[in-house]
Amino acid sequence: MNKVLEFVASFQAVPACLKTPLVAIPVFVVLTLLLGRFFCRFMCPLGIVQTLVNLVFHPKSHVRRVCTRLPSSRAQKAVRGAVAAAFFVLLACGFTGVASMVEPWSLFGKAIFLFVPGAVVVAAILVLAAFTKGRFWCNWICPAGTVFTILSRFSLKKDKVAKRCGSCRACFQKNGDESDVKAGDSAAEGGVTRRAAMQGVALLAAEKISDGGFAPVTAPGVPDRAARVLPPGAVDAETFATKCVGCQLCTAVCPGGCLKPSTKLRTFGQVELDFTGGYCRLACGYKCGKACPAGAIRPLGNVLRRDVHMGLAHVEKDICLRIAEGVNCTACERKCPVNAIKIVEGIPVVDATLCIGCGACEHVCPVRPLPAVRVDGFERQRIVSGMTEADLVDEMARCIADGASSVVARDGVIVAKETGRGVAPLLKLHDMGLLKGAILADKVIGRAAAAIAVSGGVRKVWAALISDDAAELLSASKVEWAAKERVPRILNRDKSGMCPFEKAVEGLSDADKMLEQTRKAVIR
Amino acid sequence: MTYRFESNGKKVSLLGYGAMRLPTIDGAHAAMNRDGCSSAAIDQKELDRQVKTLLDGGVTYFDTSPAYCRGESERCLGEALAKSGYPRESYMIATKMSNFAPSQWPLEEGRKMFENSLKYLKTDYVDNYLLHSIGNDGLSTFRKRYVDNGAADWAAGERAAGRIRNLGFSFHGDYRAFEWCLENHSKYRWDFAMIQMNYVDWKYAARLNKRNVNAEKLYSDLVKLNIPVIVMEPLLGGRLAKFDYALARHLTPLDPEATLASWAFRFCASKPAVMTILSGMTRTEHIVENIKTFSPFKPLSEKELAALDRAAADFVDCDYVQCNRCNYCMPCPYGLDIPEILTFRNSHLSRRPGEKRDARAVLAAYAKAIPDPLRRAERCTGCAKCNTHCPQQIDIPREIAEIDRAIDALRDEEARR
Repeated sequence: MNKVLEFVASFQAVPACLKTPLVAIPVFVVLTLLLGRFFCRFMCPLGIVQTLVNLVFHPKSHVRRVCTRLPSSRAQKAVRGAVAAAFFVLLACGFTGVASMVEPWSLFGKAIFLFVPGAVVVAAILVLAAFTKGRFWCNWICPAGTVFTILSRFSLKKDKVAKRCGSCRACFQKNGDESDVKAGDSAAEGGVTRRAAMQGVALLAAEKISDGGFAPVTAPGVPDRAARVLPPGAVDAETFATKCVGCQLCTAVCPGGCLKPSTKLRTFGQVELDFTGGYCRLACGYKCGKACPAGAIRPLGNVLRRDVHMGLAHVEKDICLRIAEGVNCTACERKCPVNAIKIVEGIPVVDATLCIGCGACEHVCPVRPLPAVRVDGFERQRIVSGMTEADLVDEMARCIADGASSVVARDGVIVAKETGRGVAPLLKLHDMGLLKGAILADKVIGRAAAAIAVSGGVRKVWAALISDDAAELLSASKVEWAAKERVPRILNRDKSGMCPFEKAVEGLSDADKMLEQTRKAVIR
Repeated sequence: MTYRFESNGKKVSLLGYGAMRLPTIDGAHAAMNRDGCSSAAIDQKELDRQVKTLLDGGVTYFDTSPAYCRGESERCLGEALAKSGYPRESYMIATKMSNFAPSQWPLEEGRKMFENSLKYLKTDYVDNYLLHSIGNDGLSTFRKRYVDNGAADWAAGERAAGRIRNLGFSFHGDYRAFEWCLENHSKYRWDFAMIQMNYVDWKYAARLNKRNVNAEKLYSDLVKLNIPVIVMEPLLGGRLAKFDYALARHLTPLDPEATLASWAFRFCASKPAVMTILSGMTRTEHIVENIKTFSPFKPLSEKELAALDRAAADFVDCDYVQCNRCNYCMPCPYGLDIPEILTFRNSHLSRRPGEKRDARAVLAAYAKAIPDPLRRAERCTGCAKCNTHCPQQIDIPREIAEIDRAIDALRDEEARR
């Protein structure tokens, strides 16, 4: 469904002209000069739907043979002229959000992705269309429609208008045709109403006397930010403001559920990050940038996600639970995907060199009505030249040297460190599903550990110590590996014989079978 | 019904009723795993019917506490018993001094709690009175709750006065509190003791959690002093009754008709010092089935005991969190649905050999299990208040952090699609 919409969005007039004006404007002008108002008829989903509505309400309409262009009344000319003028003035002044309220693709997108508010407007348009038996919106209000009307005056394909208009009453829309565009269902994501969230709630429940039941919960409010947080790839806030038409395609693909339309007047309908329902997920790979038809969010492709800094988290020390209530809360530190929040002497501190403004901390902060952690957006997003993968592996190796047994990195970030004896720490990371596509650094990689890594889908292995057999197994399974030291075999703790896990997998070659044997050895 | 002990002229049924998981009015439409005390009100009509069924089936032992079911258990049970039409002399009531909150530690508060218990239970004496979960939160807390404030001495005094017929304690947690009670047996003459016992905890409780003591050890300690044993958690909060491959593959071949629950009950009943086995039966079907198991109780053969031990060993090897959904941890001050989160981990995030995990299906199940996003694992603050209440001594914030990490990994997998 989203793929279809993204395709439709890619050739919409206003977004395309905003994204690549030098290409899109000439193309639309030339095509209109050749084909007349083809855009409203065949390409704009709102136009197509109106045509379909007309059809339904007048199924037996003798196709208008007299006129192919509706004659305009004076009132109509005045309305559409005024709307178009206002639209272009607002656009020129940078009020894209407000202006795009009358932009057809944006309206259509809002109807689909936001459901209630957008759908009401679009439904009204469609009712009017059915009532007037014409594409009411295209012909009375739509600024793009107005431009195309003017252009089509000079078109090679002339629309027919009866000479003596006024009495023939044959003004019915031409048959709609090919389109099968449907307004898909789009139940609004189970969000939380922001207003409801503003009513405060006691932070700490009363002393627990009896068992069971639930403490009340309230959704967090949205704090006042120094600047709004924009999706990764909306590099410059000012440019974004002039380009985003608020079509909501990006909100529909956002896996974090944090892209939401703005409710502020100046940026109305334009998207921004809202952390009440989720946060920007590192793993997503710039889905919003890929979806954006207007060039407001650029797809950043190969840039590591954690190198795109959208904003910076701030901790309001005086309302933070740790400081205000003395609660040993670790929510933000635990949830930060880039390890940018550290609890230092009981106080959460943000490392600005690491923080990307993803909002995970704000999302999980338990303080109400407003969270104690707030992300402020940047006027200009920073794409820092971050660590290379080699740097990352070095950092992981340092963790091993500092005493960790197994370290896992995904999406360019260390996501888990485990300490313990034998293969148990690695097995745990495996069972938590953290190894898929990950880089693994481990103290000792024998064949048992290598089998766990292979079975878990590790992409790259670094080991302080690796056995010949393990190296062979990894190479055979096409897992990249590097090691500080290589030995023929792994010995047991007191060096009196072979490591018990190695013994358990001796003679086996299938990674999953080896995993099972290793498990049994761990339990023993 | 099989009766093994007699207490003050009353026959003690081998199956007892624990009023900790009373039916709630949302039970009709809520998911099956929502058994027990949820936030919804207790279904008094259903409870009345169930208590009648129990009494008709010969069950004579009813166990409750002022803390159970958000403090509603005593009142609801008292009402149901009064309505049942059976005379007070025909059944036994057990309740507890559940003074977990520091504000309840002074003896005055404990006495008030006892008076309230009598009022709610509509009686002028209780048959069995327990010091509740003596090992909870360490030895020093135990001393503050029962020794330093004179609560244990007061309870012994009430026994002499007849308002308490028998005095005992229930034990979870710190073994030193258990030892203290046994060392002072000559002084308090415990009439019974309640321990967590089932065929898994018998030999493997310590394996599941280093801080636990095997039921075998606790049982033999009590037998040495000739103290009758009351069993709690014979089914590990229902986990030994629900289908589990690790259990079923050892037990079902021996008797394909027998339910998993019946095996667990028969194991406990096979120990001669056991006076009664408490089960928190939320559903009437459970009550009917369990009464059948004990009418009459069939002892286990050597072969069957060996199979139970193998099943227990297999069960322990599954990496389950040992949550029995007792709800002691609830309410979490930050609103998390802790028992549901831990249960979800066992059902969806535990390792199962050779099983491929479908991220989308697991996430959908997670959203269904805990519909309110504000009650899910990611909202844990790590404050660890729950840890002081957990009788299984689970490190709850640590488990929840791990669950959240696993869920995040699945979400990332989804995000990558």
